[in-house]
Amino acid sequence: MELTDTDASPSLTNRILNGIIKCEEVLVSLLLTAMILLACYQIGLRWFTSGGLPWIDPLLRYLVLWSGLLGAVLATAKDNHIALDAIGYLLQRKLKLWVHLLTDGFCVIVSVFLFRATLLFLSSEIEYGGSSLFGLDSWLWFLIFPIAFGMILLHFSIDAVTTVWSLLQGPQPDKQ
Amino acid sequence: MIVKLIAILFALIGTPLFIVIGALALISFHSVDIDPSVVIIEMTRLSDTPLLISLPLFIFAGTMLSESGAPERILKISRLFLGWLPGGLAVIALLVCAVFTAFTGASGVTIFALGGLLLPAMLKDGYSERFSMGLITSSGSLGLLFPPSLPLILFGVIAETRIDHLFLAGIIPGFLMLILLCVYAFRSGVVHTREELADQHPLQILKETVWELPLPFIIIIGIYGGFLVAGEAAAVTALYVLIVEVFIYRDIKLRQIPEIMGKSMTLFGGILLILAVSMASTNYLIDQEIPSKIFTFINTYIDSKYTFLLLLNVFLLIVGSILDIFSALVLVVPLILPIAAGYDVNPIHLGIIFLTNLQIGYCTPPVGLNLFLASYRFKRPIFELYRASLPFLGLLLITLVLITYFPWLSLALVEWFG
Amino acid sequence: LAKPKHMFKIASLAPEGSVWVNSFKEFAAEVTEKTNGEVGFRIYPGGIMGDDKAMYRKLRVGQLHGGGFTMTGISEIVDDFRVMAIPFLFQSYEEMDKARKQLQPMFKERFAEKGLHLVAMTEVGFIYTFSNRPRVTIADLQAAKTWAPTDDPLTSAFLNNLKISPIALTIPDVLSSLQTGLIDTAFNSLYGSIILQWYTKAPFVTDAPYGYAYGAFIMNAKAIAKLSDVYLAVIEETADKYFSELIQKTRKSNEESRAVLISQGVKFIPTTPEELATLEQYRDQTIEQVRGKAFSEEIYQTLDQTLTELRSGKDGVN
Ligand code: NA
Ligand code: NA
Repeated sequence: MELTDTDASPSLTNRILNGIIKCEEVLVSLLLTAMILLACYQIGLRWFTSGGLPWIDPLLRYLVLWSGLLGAVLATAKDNHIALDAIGYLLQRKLKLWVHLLTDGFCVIVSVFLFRATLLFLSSEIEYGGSSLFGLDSWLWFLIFPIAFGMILLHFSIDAVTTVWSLLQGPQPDKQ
Repeated sequence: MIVKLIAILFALIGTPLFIVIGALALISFHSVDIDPSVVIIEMTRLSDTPLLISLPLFIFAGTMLSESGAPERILKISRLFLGWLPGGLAVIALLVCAVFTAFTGASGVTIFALGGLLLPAMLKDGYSERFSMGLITSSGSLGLLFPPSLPLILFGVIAETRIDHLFLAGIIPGFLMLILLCVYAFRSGVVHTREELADQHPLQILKETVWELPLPFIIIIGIYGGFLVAGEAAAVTALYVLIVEVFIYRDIKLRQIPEIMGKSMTLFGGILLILAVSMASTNYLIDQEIPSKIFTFINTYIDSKYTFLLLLNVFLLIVGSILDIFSALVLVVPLILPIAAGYDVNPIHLGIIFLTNLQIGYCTPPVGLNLFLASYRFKRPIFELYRASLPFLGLLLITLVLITYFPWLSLALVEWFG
Repeated sequence: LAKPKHMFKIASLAPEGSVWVNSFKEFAAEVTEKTNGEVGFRIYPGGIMGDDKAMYRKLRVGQLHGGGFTMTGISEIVDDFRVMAIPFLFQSYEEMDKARKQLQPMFKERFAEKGLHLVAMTEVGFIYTFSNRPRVTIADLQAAKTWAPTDDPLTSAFLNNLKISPIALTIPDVLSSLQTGLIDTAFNSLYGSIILQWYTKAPFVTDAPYGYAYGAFIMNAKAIAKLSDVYLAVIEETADKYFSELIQKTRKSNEESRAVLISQGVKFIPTTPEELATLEQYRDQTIEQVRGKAFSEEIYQTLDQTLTELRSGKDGVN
């Protein structure tokens, strides 16, 4: 998002985007809080009552997956992914936007295929997965994959659109 | 092949690495006619990795600590105890950076949170600017070998080695590095005057930090006393830090929590995603039996374990100065692990070698991350930082040689307590 | 060295160099030889393809064509397969062999219903209680910090009846947890306790097997369907030869392991008939609770009948 300042992009898109980010933040906060409390509760049970609840550990492992993948969505929304940037420092703003558009396009294409892979996985899991924690079908626990990769695709697409918008706006004064 | 090269080119122009690795995995499986859902199946294995939970929880604890007043308090108490030493402030800087990196994992945090406090203090004490900047830059990743360092945990997750053993293994090599740098700092010999502390009674300072001092002990006593496994120690640490910083010190307001949690999970999400896609790309390599083919190839040219380790170090230094530590680990560990096993390298020792190399990679010119961060933080040209960190880099390389060729430095404590 | 026309990729949790992997390699070599190199196997040992669940998923989408599964893992797919894991059930290898022979056709059907082909059953062996001090009585066990594998309804129900709340950990976490004292009691075969080094931290073994652990070599039925009947027969025959031999080898390893464990200072603590009788009551209570749920009524009846016949000596009449 670093390249698209507030004035250059349509404010409605921006408001929606910020709204989505807020929601995602609240959601991961809830999951993280649940993780901390459940794990500590389990320790307490073991220390003071000589045994824990058998469902807590598997639930925690699913929570790690859910919170991590939602965190990854958040990282996409905030343009905060681990990346090499060997030539980014060298480029002019205008050229940077074009490079950004190129990488965005690539991200969108790859995300489409990753999203498709999650759907293929899900359909196979629905058919053969069997049941998992709390007797729920295992595909329900893995529903986070299509959700997260779908959201990642969405964020990359929004970013690509915003970049196109910035390019169409023409030259802007460099704000640093 | 051409498609794969294009994907790698995209990495160089700043495409998120997970997209590049994910693309490589998808293309690879497609080329051998394997269903793309295997990529996601590999990711589901993350839900069977009990060690993983320590990552988000320690990341959260580390983020809380760096957003709070903890850096100032830790610095203050260190000055109380070590301020009288010749070169005392330099030693303090090294120790504080080590402790702070061990808890926050990412070196950027250390340079940003502590650099701003340490540099002016050192300059005021009469250290040269070059020495001070070099020291802070190169100790920005010091402490990666001490528990509960995130990269150490991540190595354990990927290599499926015991984290409690890795924690033990890092201690002697970590101290070796610290001591060597401290000796260098002693030789710089500036005596500190202790003036800033004059207005505060030592007991007052001790009282101020009393809630943060137990943190390392929660982890050590918790794990080695048999009260907690690594993941649980992380949960207790997270809850403890949350309570201390929000309700006791009140450095952080309750309404700031969602934002800090969001920040922590953003960092964790980035790491998890890289881990997830690289599990998929690794699975392709395993499917095609590539690690064993590489081993057979290397083995025809290199017989000796020591030559192998030398080449490994060179390779890892290069990788460490190009990639960030998390992607370097997830990409390289699965590939090297079976090969190293062929040369009879203990996986715990291998882990310490990896971490030492990647740590040094952080401050290796031309592209070590710490150099860029310090250049940004101190607003100095990057070339000045190259020069400043050179003597420290030399010392770190000496420890690397010792750590590589004396495995017992890493394994003694493991054998003693394991 | 021509590439085999049919290449089957097989994964297993068993480590490289263990009896299971070695036997599989011998089996694979003979099949390849007998089919003039047309049928080949590639093995991925040591869990590098993931645990039972991941292996099963990969089997489904065709990355793998088969796998050596553990009973706990594959029973989530074919629940009848866990019936032989009822605790304190078998008293001898003879009973096991008889039960396996009797049940295998039914297991084969159940697997076939799920599109899987059961090639052979494998054995881990009798499972013993390993602890940091002698634990023979139920009170001893209740006072222990006991490990149990995750997701096994049979074990959970049994321990629940004994009023033991187990600590669920995955296998890689067990050794470190035994060492730090997070748990002090775990279950394993004698050979398994050596491979995983558990005995070093839990050197007291209650000398009455808790139960029986086993597994299966399973292939995707679709993958096999492409083979000619001749080749299929070669696989079946060779499997019969090597996998019944494997069972004997596993038993030999377990017996040798007893000697190794004793030489390492592990103490085998005898139990009393009274304790065993009580544990068997709990077992019966557990069976009543889980029959028709954790496994089908039909499979349990067959097993029960087989054992009753064998024990009352009617076996010879048939
Ligand atoms: Na892996
Ligand atoms: Na680096």
